[in-house]
Amino acid sequence: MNLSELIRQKTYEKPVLNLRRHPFVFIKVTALFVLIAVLPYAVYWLAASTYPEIFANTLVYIFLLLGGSVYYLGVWLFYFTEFMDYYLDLWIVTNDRLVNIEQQGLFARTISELDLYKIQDVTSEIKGMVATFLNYGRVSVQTAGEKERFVFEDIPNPHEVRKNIINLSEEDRKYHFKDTKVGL
Amino acid sequence: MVPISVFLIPYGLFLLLFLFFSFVNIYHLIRFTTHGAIVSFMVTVAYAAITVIILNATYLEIINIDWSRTIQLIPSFGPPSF
Repeated sequence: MNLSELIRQKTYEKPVLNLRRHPFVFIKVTALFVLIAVLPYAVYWLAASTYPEIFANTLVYIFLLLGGSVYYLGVWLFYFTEFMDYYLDLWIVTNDRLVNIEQQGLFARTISELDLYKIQDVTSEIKGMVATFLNYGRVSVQTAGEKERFVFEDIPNPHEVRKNIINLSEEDRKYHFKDTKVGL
Repeated sequence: MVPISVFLIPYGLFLLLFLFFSFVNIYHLIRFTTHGAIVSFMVTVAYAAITVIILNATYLEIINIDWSRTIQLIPSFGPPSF
């Protein structure tokens, strides 16, 4: 599915920004899963050096073998699911609207849209040492609609994104309200 | 007394569950990716490759076990010896 199909692009609409979370966010998840994957080896080494005789028992060996296989397949599946959650979360800024696509687990996907001319306030923030060095953070968009805040989490260059959204919002507001001014 | 191959049944059920959720993930990847078929293909191949490595390592150990051997699930308690 390409981008225009995903957002049902209108004829006059042009995508401006296509944003995902900063890759460092997923690197943190990867480091955690590497730690979880290494854990059984540490436990095995500890058990083998303390109680080596338990591994001579066939039943124990089978439990460890099948249990280890289940453990690693489970860890791998969870890691892949986390990757899908990271990769399929997307924020798209066009010259007409904001589109927020969130994959929430395996069986839930939420897509929200927001017209640019309805935006009242845009806030960008970077918090933390690593986020400051890598320049990623969150952008919150405030409107008068039912969903008060539209949040872009952990995106690269949040201050630039905020400026872009504000500029696009002003252009879109001029486009939408020019006819009413002429009517007056 | 049961053959130790009964322990392969829950393992097989887990594998079915694993395959089901793997296909769901791959379906989402193919349906909703915005980077084209090549990215979906590469990610799917990488995922399948690691899965095959884990399953192969398990298989190489499983084939060395004599699964026809029987074990007593409930231990029997004989008369006490003095």
